[in-house]
Amino acid sequence: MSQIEIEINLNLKLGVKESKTILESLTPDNVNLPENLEIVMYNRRDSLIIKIKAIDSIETVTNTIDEILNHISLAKKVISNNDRS
Amino acid sequence: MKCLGIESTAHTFSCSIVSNEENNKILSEARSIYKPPEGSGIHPRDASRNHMNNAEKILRIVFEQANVSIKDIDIVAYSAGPGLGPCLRVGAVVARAIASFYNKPIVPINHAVGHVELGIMLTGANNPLVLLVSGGHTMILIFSNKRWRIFGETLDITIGQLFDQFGRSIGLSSPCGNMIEKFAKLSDKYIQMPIIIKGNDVSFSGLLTRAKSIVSKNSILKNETKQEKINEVCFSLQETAFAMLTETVERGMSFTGKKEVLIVGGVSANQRLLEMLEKATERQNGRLYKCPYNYAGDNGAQIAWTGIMDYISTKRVITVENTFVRQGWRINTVDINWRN
Repeated sequence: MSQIEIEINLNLKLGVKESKTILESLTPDNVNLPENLEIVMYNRRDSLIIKIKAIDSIETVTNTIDEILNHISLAKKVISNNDRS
Repeated sequence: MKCLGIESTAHTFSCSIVSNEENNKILSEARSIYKPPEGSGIHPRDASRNHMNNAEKILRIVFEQANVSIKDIDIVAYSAGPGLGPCLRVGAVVARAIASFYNKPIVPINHAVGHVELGIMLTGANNPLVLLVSGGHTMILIFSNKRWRIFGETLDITIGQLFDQFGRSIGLSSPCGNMIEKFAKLSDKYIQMPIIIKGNDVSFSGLLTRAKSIVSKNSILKNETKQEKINEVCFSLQETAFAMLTETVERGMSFTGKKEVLIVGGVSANQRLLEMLEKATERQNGRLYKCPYNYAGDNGAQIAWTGIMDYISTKRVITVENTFVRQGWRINTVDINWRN
């Protein structure tokens, strides 16, 4: 049976400083990933680029995207609260 | 120096601002505790969602309570393990975002070290034998040669897991320790239970099996009689498990010659355990130091305080990119540079 290859690219325009902060907040956890999963994250100007590749595991991809997007939203909320500055 | 501490190892998401100025002060502390449905255990992803949904609110509360702004914060510390992966990652993301955006030093802290060090700070104990009892830990610790060494520990489940797993089997929701203590107070009838102590280590899984089997054999009883039986089992479970812990603590005191015992962790809120340890330490001409009730369970202050101690003693600067979470981070692998 042939394998299913899944590739998802996300391009999030967050602002220069914000996307750098979010990249730094998320990348340290991209370790010890399963063999069939690959995550690449980097900044391009004011954007955060995320590439997720997986083989034969749609559930892994959906769970990974879910966690990544939730973490981005969390980090964004934490740094956009002006009360603390 | 002021430190923002972030705790998120399991049920609890907590933040705290602690200062080492003016006699070490906890300026603020707030927490959100995930409650699983009745009869269910903690689901790491559900708990992490609770943490994500409450993180911003908890942060806002601690800054307001302490009446400080981010400019007043010198360092950010977070619990890097041991704990549940999805939960640990929430705390780490919050800490990294603040450290990166506001350009603050970041300090990863071992959660168990945090329990011990905050307990010492709050009680004034000097060089104690430590009993760490919670959902994640059951260990007896002594400080030697720059590390907290494990003198004895559980060989299988922790005391908190014993109570939670038994509690869930009778329909309670985790954490179940409070309800088990409440039921235990309603009985004084002891049912024989297995006591397993090997050297300085303990084992609770046989005790759990025995407690569950007694309740299941009596499941046909009518409501009132059934509750009476549950009370008897809770009483017997507590008496047996706490006798095992007290025995090993007393052995530890006798072996090391230590006269101070410090109890920390969520289960240290149990009055019966404290009563038994008081008697044991008295027998050894020692003194029991109890972590204050509010700080017995998981809290951000344990992380903030240990963050200050670690940062001052090592001046170690970790870049945000090099921070980590370690689900199985053992306390006896952490260098404690601030203690002789």
